[in-house]
Amino acid sequence: MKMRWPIALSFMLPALALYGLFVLLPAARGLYYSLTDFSGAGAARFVGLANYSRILADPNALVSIRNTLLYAGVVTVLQTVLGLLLALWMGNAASVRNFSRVALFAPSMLSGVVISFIWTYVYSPLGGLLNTALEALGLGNLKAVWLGDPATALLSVAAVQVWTFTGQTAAIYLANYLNISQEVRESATLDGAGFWQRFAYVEWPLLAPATTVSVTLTLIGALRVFDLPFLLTRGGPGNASEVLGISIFRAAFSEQRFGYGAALAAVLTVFVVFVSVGLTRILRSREAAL
Amino acid sequence: MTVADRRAVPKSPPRNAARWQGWFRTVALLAFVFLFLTPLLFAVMVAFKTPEEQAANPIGLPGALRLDNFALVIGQLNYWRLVLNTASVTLLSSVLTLLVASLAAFPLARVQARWTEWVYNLFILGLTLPFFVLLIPLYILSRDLGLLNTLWGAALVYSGIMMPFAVFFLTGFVRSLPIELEEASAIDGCTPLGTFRYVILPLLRPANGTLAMFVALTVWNDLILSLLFFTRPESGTLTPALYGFLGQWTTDYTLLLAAALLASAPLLVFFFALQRQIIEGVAAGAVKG
Repeated sequence: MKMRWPIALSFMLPALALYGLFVLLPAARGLYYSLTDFSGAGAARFVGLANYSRILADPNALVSIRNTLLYAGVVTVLQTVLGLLLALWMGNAASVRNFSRVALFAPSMLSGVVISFIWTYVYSPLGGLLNTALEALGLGNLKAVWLGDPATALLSVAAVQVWTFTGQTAAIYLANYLNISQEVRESATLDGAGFWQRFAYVEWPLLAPATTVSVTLTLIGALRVFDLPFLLTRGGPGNASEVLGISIFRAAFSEQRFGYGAALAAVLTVFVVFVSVGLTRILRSREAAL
Repeated sequence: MTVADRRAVPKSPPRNAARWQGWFRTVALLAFVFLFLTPLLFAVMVAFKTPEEQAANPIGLPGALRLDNFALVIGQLNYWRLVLNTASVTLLSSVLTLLVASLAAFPLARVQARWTEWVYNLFILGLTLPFFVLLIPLYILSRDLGLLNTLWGAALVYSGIMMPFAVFFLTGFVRSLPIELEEASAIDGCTPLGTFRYVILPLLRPANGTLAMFVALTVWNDLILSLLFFTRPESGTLTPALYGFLGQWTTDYTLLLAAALLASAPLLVFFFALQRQIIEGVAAGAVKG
């Protein structure tokens, strides 16, 4: 189309202004702060890569990085498997499909604060739903201080994340599943394939687009997680459930170490970019192989 | 979708067995969904109980349908004011994001030049930046510009943050539109702004609907930015006020859960009214590939 460049540029200007002012400029300043000893007020002194080498020597930061990767791994695997199973289930139960899809999706509409209110009640050692239910089922020896025990805190938070977003994964897989043509399915059945054989050799490869979208979304979301661990455990007990999001927040806003917090944020960025680029490449090549 | 509704039934087992299998699958799925929603259902129930009832029997039903907890929360939280504030920020952010991103998407999709490609890639770069990188400088910037504790300031910041996704999403959509209509309107003497107003914007309506839902959900549920932005929670949005509530009433679940229910009620109404569009919006990426 014929549109002279000054006009084209003026159309983009409002978007560029908002984006530049509230995203690009802060991102550039953040990168700069990570090379200083800035405390949030006053002057910033340039310190080179000192903040980054401090991360490598900070046992708390290393625990936090480990926790972040563990959390993201556990959430991604559990949520993908559960979401996929539910999608297959819903795909083969037409009469309750819509109801189930909406019901499973509903938790992902709630804010992290609301989710955390619900689950502090569920996990509470004093009359919490989970322990009370275990007791009632005669499984009293499985009772635990879910969020207060270093052994269970991180995984308990991960379970809440999976509970919240499984409905989205299931909806993504279901849309893809219902799009697989009936002929493909029928010919596999005529060839004598059972349900699981048909799934493994026919449907699973055809679900590659859904896998790309849902795994990428889940993994990136879990790597940058903040709300749930912050609200449910504050990263505790000790640093048992501390993830990078919390470390950044704490360094910057409780300890007034903006420079160090910014360096941690840069490390998280590297993780996310690395993972999203690498993962997209791997998953897309699976799709191309179809 | 309707084609896939009928599942092919293998020929070998008798039809009766297959029907029973189908029934079992349906009932089992319903049972699972209810189990899955147990935390939510119990949370609703607890919100109606008195603290004494809750302490005596944590999983018992409330003795009566009492609304005392809700009344107390509405008073404590200044609820209606917070809902109005949150709705204003959500609406302002959505309108601003949609309008500004649609304007940008039009030339980004249609003007083929090296510099437009460059600008497009600049926006895409923002998709990979985690919010935490911006957090600290964004806070300082907002403080220095005097945007903290203002609803319009929050809307500006949210729009800026949503911009990469909005531009990416809408540019892709404009590219999929047939170009003939725009050419016809240009031949008829329409200015670029006229073409945008009378051709592009109406065609973008479905895409903008999906985008508006994403922006609204993000803004309504946001915690971290609103926590930093509204240092006086009573004049801000729902989430920071709700978060402050947590510290005050940590042990009284009857009040906490009533507050949680009240805070999500407007959004849940929105969700159930638009469930089809919302779920399809999330799932769309998978089908288009």
